[in-house]
Amino acid sequence: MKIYVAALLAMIVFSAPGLCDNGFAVDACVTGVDRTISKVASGEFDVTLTLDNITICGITETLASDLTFVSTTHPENKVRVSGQKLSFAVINETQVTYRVSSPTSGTPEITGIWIDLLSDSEGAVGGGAAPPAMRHQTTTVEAEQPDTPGFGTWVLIAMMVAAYLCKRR
Amino acid sequence: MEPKFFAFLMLTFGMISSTPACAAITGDLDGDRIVSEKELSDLILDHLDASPALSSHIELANLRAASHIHAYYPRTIAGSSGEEITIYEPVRRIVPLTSDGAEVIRSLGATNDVVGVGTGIAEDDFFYEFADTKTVGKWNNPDCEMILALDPDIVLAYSKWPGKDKLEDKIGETDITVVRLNFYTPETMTSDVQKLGVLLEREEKAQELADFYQHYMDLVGGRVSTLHEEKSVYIECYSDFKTVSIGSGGHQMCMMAGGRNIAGDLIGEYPKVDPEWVIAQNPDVVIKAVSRSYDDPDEPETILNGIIKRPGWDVMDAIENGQIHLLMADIYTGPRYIIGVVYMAQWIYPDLFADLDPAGIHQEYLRRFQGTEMQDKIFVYP
Repeated sequence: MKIYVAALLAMIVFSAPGLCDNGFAVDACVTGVDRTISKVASGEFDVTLTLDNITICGITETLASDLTFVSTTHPENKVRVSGQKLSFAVINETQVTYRVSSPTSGTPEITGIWIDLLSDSEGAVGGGAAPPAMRHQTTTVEAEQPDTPGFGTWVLIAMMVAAYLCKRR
Repeated sequence: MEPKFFAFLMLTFGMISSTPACAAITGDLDGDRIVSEKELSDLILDHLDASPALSSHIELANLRAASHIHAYYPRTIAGSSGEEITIYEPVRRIVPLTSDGAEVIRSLGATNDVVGVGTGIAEDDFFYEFADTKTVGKWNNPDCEMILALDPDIVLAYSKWPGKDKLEDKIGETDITVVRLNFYTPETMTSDVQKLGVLLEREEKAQELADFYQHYMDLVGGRVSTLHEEKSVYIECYSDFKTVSIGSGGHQMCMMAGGRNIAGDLIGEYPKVDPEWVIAQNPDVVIKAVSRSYDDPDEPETILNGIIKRPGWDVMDAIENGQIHLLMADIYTGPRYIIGVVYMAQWIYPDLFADLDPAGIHQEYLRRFQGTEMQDKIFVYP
């Protein structure tokens, strides 16, 4: 019985979503943009955006109303600042750093989205899906994606039921 | 409105409504056919800046297309004559003039991008999917007005045929790129397949086919390398007494199969010889290439008997030993040359290659790369 359960668990692990198209395991192909914020001086913070497995990316960061954009090390012609909104074009780079000032000592509130332009992926900076309000430019593309992602879930459920039945025997 | 943003909007709307002829390359704002890093950066920033009211699916689709072009284009290969061929954006519309080209396109999985074909392809039931595809005339004398009307990204032709005067000169200054690759010479087949794979962004499929060729090349090559004495072979082309010499696909196949081509030293790729010269050479094996496959064994039997009964040929070792074979065009020199090579190797050295199953290899190729089953036809005789 144990061997059946082990085999089923193995099938679940290998069939569940998590393998990249190229066959690499999950950790090797996580796509996304992370944000780290570090205090550099009184009232000033460095914000570092780190790209994982994205070659051409568009990033929009929206600063809380009490924050002020100070500067960035990103090339000038790949940045636009419009009020509280910062837009970055990131091509063949893995990091973007910019500085903000804050009247308070608390952690600055920043939200952002990223779009991987060599794939159909997108998300919120720091993880998760892009907030609906910020996704106006990408919603229709999402609708184009194949309608099969739920298949893995159903396979998973079916396998768990099968495992349960095996155990009962 | 900022000029860059205006340009972006113009490009976007242009992509929606433009005709395919001389279409701008998505994301190329200055018309140099390249999506530079600056152009792409501006497009990304314009996209991120755009108000929701102006945003649309096509914007992001175009931005992705421009990003793809920036990342992967231009792509340059050397044609079969060494000429440089550059593609600046993904190929979406293909016109193959030859069945060899169409077969490789099928192996690469790009048949959906074919918008027109040479007449011979449409008439060949092997290419069932192109039966209703628009035709552009003969492989060596195409209808260039039809080609222009179809507005393909590339036209696929042999390096020598049709002549430049019959193709490039008539197409004129358009965005149509003529890709000349010889899919009829075994020695360059693998590299030609890989080159087309690069142009069509189908490198993986191309490599798969290249590996297939290599596997059987190694298998046959490894065995023939152990031979101490080569058997002599007379290869006759589709026309009587026209044989093959250095530079021709038939000669290359003979060499690959471990045979010694009795006409290998003659001048010209396809020299014509006298019947008496062949008799004097007394080849061990005679292989006749025939221009098509047959449904009925009576037809190849008639051809075979015609050769056997040539005056004076009955004294040749090949005829006396029953070492005369017909090899159909489908597996001679084109993309299926490797199957012909295996047949040849088995005919020339029956003991050495007794375990090989050329028909099985043919079936494997058809299933793996052509998505089809073996037709009920005669490809070799006997």
